Amino acid sequence: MSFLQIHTLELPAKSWRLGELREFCQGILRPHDLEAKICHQVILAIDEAAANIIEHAYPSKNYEGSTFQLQIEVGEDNIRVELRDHGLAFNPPLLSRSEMNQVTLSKRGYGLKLIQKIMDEVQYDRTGQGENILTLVKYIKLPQYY
Amino acid sequence: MSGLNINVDSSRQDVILIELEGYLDAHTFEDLETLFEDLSLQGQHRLMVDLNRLKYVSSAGAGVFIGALGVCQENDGNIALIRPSAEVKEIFDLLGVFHIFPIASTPEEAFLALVN
Repeated sequence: MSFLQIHTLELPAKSWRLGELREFCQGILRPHDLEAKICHQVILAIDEAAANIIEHAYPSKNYEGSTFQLQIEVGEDNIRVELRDHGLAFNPPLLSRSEMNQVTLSKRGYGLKLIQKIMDEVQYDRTGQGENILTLVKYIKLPQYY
Repeated sequence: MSGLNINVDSSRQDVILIELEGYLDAHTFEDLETLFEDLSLQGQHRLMVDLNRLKYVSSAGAGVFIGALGVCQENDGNIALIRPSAEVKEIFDLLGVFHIFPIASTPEEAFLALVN
């Protein structure tokens, strides 16, 4: 049986909407009987990516009214997440494995590290139309009854 | 899944108990950051934070603890975490910093860890 469920959400790029974002993700993931830890990790990675968009893609009041889009696909063996926005390009270099495991004691800047630690694939693209697309993939194993 | 309530109990001498309830994320972290800064300005560097009713922490929230821990330790203090949930513990673990905080299962235990 072919199994693919796609869910989308568009939200204003405001940090006070992050709770709604997490709730949306939880509503999608919960029915799949995934391990609680996997659910929490994926929601955390999405929350971090959205927080980065809000802070870095839309950094000033000039971007008032801006939005971002979230798409989540739950497949047989992976969860694929896409976040799209039309803000400033934000493409910090991906961390190497040793950098990921390095312990730093700063106040900020942990978002990308967490995303990379949690997700199995992380890819950033900037389109010719000025769109940022962050794609995250987590490999999973759904219960047999699917 | 949003909002953060902070309760501060300063009834114990030299050690402040902070109880967190709700969600510590990129929207709410500044409330806790401001509290830590205010307490530092007041010379309070021994803090115990009850996380029992904290449902969620993002990296912005964890960063507040990491930043404040450095300030407290520079001033001969510390921050003890009380009853972190598995989810809250996990983010500190992912960042590799869980072990740098004293962990306690009750405020009394945290108090003893901070004053001894």
